[in-house]
Amino acid sequence: MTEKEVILDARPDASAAIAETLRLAQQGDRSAFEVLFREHVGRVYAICLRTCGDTSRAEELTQDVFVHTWEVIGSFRGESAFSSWLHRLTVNVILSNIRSDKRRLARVFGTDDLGPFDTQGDTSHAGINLDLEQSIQRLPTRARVVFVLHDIEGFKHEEIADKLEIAVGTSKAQLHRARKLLREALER
Amino acid sequence: MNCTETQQYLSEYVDGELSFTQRQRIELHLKRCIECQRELSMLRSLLSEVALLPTSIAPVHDLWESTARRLGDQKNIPPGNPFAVPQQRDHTQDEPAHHSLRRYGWIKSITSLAAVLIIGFGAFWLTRDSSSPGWQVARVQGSPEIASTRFTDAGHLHIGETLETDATSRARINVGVIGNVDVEPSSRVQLLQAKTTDHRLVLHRGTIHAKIWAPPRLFFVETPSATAVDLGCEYTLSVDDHGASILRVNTGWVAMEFGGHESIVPAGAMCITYSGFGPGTPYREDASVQLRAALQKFDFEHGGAGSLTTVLSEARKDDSITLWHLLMRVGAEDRPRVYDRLTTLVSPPEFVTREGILQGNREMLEAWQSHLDLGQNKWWQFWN
Repeated sequence: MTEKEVILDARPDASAAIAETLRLAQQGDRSAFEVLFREHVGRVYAICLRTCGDTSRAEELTQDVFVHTWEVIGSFRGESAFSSWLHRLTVNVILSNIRSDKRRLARVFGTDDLGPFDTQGDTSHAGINLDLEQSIQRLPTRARVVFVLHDIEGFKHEEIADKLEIAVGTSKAQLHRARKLLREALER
Repeated sequence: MNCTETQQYLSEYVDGELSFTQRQRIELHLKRCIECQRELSMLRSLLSEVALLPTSIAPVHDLWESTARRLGDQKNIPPGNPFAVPQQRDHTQDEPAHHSLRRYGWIKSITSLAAVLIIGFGAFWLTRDSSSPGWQVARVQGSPEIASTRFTDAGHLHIGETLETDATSRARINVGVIGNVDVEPSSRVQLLQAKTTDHRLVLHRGTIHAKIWAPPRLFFVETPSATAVDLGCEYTLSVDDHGASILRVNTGWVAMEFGGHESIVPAGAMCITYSGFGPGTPYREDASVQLRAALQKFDFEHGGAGSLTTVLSEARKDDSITLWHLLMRVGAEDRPRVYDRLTTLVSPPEFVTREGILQGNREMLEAWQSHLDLGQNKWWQFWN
């Protein structure tokens, strides 16, 4: 826990209310958990939407994240901010979901020999428009996942490679590819 | 290095992941290749846009009900690493049965009823703002307008809308549930953000009086020359027709921020900002006229050493907040003078050394600041 977080948690009123909300949620209080849900659902949904590129799937994933959070919230010890803890959990749920899908597995992980300019077989970016958010959602799956984790969520290539079980070079290549496709989309 | 190679490595180049030699080769090519310069510029532009993407997106549907239904199907908390996501869930048990509930038992549950009362405010505070599209406004006097439309007794200021008062009207904005803002005559304010973690107004011109009882850094007022960041306080902020602003803090602290520069203003002090200059050095409202004039020259008129001499000679113990800011604002050649003068007014803590301060040691600067007897809010310095 950083010094800043210690100070933050020591603040009166709101931080005490948040701590109490967490404690009650850990004891199984659904109302308290709903407070946490509504406070963080936008952040969780944003990661899910950008990572999977589909609103229906993003909604399912968001529910998965909070169901899992409900299951394990008792293990939250306050050693980091709850939002940081939830963020890490969210990414893990998303990646677990991706890994469990064999079809996606093949698309995401079978790319070690992929050249940085290789867009062969990509048709999903054909409809990219000028809107950056939509352009990200329309990126090819593997490029999108790496791009979101690196450029939006701030993970390093080593962490991404570890989470996705790919080579660091592959992560860099996919990031390069994603950025190139986005630049092309924004040029149109 | 040719264009293909250069553009292949541009992504890693902007991320700072290339070796010194690789960087040199790319920079050598960039100097003579307009096309690759353009590629680099576009890449940086893209990353700038990405950095501005919102961290939160509201789902189209309310997902709580569907999520809540699934909570009832869960079993106990699985042991071990909480981040180890189970691939399959057991849906055979209906009882949520959190282990912590079982561990604490009835007594703990009964005592938690008291906590429910405490959480009531917190829950209300956390949920109300996030679902509200704006803030309530009450007419205090005259005929204030929201979005160019007069309202009688009460109105609603939505995100993006502007509240304006003429020379004879006043209004009060309820800032969610964390405070209120009185809008004085001849003022124009705009609501930018009404989230739980970000309550944000723009003061285009005029005067507001803000009273905030929330934790620090939840309420912001942007002006053309700086952003006022609430650190738990009550203050008055005015903006003139040229975008310059004057901040007066009544209680607590306010930070004025612009372009990486920051002034921390305690109760009883004020701070002037000008467009293009950012926040000036804060000073006590009861500081001498000579000190204030010299500080004005130092901050905004390239007053230099002469102005600094006047500030130092005029400074009292109560003006230590001004000298403390100056430690970080003067050049290395003048810093010893400021250090020596501040030492005569407020002794630094034991471990703070002259050498450390002159070298800009942040830990020592913060430690000394805490000795200035400016109030009890020690936490503010960690919020930079």
